[in-house]
Amino acid sequence: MSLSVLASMFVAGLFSSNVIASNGIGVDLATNSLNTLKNAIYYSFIIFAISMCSAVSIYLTSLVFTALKIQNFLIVAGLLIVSMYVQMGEFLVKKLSPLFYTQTKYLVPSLVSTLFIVIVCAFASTTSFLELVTLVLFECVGILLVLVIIAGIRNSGSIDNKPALLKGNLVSLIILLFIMMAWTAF
Amino acid sequence: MKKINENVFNPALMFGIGLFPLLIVADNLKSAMLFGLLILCTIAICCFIYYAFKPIILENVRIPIYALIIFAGVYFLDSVVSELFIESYSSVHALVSYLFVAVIVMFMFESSKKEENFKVGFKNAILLGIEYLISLIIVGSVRELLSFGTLWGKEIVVDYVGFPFFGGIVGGLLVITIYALVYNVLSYVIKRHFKVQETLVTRYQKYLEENVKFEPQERETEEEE
Repeated sequence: MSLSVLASMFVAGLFSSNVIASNGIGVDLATNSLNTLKNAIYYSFIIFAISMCSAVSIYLTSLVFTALKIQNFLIVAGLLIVSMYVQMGEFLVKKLSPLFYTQTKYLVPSLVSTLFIVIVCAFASTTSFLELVTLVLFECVGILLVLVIIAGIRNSGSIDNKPALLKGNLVSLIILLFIMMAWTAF
Repeated sequence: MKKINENVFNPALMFGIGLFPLLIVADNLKSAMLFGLLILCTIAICCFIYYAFKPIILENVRIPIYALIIFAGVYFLDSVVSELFIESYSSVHALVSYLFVAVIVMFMFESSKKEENFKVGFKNAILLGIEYLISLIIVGSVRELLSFGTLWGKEIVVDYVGFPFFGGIVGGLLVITIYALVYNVLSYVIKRHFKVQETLVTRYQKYLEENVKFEPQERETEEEE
């Protein structure tokens, strides 16, 4: 496989599977108050770790459930697996970086629900394990991209003197609106 | 005064929580209203279950328990509503929409974690649901009006060409951004008003305290004289 094909696959995966910009899944995460690049990257890494672990665990669980012919319980099991990993992630973040945890205390609800939707969508559109992992990987890269863009613009000096009304969530919404418009045009 | 200030907030517009359902479901008034009412019912049911089991919910395993409580509430309502209102229910894409409820309900759990009193917690949860319902109705009606010129399926603007753009995600986000701007301006004005009022009240209370302190002394001196 040539380099150009690989590159085109990467770009296509990055843009087409960008869950925030194309489907709106994860707007909750994107519009939270992540003010610095460091926080955005840190948060994206947490999302990546949790979603990858959840996807692998749910895939293995689905194999077991299929063998036992109890596939109807897979939704409950998936929900529990995602929430369990989020709980573990929260526990680790609280221990490793208490300041980051304090800044992102309202992110837990959106994290659980968004990751569950992301993984359910990934499961619905793929059949093999490799496809699933690739899709989740690119979704996380897409989330990282959007979070970094929003945090970068929010962190830039040009909007330091913005009025009090524009502080907080509203700036993220405006930036996200422009990103989504650009993605739609693309 | 402080209580009113605390309740004047909307999770979707202040913290970005619950924006995804707002974007996906609230593309017309009917769906938005039904979904909002279902969210309100789910919040009420989950709040009851949450406060019943609150003393035994451990901090370190709370998220899986929250997920199970929401799942229980969602499926209870799912079975009830599907039996009673089959036609309306199918138009809301129930199961998927119900899974979206998790964001708001989990936010309610997290925000009422320190609240021990059931009455206060339940009141706050219902207020949260009503706020979210109002935002769903506003966004849904504006999007339907702009997209098709209709409201609840009835034609409001005659011979309206329509902007299907507002029915999509980007159009929805545009409407939500404008709504958030208006909401922020209003909450800013309200908070400033209450701040001024609070300052005046504090000053007046200080003035009264000083007077109350001096009054008995003055009376005593008068009596002595």
